Amino acid sequence: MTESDTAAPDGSSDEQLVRNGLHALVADVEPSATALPRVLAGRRRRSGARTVLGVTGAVAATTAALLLTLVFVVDRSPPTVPTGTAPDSYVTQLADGTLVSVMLETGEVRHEFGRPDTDVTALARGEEHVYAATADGGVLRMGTDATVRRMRGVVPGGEVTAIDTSDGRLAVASGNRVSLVSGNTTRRITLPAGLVVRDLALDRSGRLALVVRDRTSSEPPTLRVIPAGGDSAARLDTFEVGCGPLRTAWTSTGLAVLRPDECAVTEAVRITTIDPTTGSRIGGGVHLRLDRPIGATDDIRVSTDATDRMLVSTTTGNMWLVDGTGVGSVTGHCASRRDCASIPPVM
Amino acid sequence: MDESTAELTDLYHEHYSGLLRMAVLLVDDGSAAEDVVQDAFMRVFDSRARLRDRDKALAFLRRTVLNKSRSLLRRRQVSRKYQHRLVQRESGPDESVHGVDRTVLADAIARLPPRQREAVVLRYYADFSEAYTAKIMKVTPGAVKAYCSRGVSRLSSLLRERV
Repeated sequence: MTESDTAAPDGSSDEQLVRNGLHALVADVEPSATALPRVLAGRRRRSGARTVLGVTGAVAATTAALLLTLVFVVDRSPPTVPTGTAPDSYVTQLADGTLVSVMLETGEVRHEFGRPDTDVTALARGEEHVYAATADGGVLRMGTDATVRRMRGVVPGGEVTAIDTSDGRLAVASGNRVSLVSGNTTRRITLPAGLVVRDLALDRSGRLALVVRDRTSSEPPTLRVIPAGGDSAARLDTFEVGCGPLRTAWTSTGLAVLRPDECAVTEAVRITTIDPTTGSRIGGGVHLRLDRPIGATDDIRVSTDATDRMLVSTTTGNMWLVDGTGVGSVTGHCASRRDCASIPPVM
Repeated sequence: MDESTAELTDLYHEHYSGLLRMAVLLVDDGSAAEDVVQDAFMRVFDSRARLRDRDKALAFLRRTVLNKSRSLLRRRQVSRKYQHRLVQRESGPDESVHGVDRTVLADAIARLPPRQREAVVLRYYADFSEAYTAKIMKVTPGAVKAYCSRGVSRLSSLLRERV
């Protein structure tokens, strides 16, 4: 017996009214961002508790039989390991154009999201969907069921220069304009003319961090933060970024900023965590030596997961996973440029 | 990642949202619904049989969500703290769904008798067949038919009263 072994209810206008009403009533209900980590953590606790129960039972039986054995039951519960909402995987585009999620540890493809019919220029990963900015100035939303939906009216200008998503919201930048999409609502934010948003990061509250370059100036890019619900970007002046930030991503403690280690040496980068309200430095961060110099912002990307791990990815296919102060090279599908398209993967 | 974690993650991605929405309709409270579905997911692979059989796992999840929703509503009644949280929401400018105010609709659903509410949600939201709905609810298909008929009729009249 299956859930659809007889015809679904059909027909009457009352039934249709009820059906439409029920679907519409919960259409905007989404799982919380921590739902999957909580499930997995709870599962581990439960599994550990069951192990302890089993061991205790066996030991008790042995004790009863031998009568003389003294038993200490050691709590074997495994520690609760936090896991990201997209645990241990990143999204990339394979050489044949298919968007996939790939396991970090094994390089095994976990989900296929379909193949866009146009060139993809940037990726953003949501909880259930992957968003792809396309070269023709559009944004595609792709699901694990390989459905591809072109999102209309979200691109504020021509070419998409940055894209990010968080907690059901989507932020898309084009030139000096940013669209913030939440459900059926789109809010537009316009920066002064001449500015170009090179990267953006959206946090769960709706706060935006922007890496902005002034086309009319030779000054390095600057960081700007737009509070949730705000429509103007305040420049973060107190943090010395030297040659300017390349990319940024939110963590639970602040704003991770990826920048060249030295202005003249672009094959070495540093990730520093800063306070988004004051611009002061929270953590000195980690140093990464890349396999080749970074030519442009588009050559590199930093993304984070729910446990504050950071994935630094490049168009060459090389990736590094930053976990605290530890840095590990990620192998797998994108270890070779032949396997993946030239878009930095995102976690 | 071990086998059960991978299976659980796959199940989450495929069914968590749908089950969460079903639970919201059954208990009319988003955070309580999330707790119900979380608990079901944590228990789903206690049995090795369910780990091996995706259909069994999904059936278990649906039954558990329904049973835990029932328990939750029962506890609320017993403690006399039962409140229709959706009913308390104030209508905003975007609260209209297909011409019916969300609050009115939520109120109407919350006022259905429990079994009618379950049958209506399983049949008209989850789109389950009568037979499958009956299996999950542990009643006969005829009972499901009657619950749905009465539920739809009652909902329609409640909606017409309030619109």
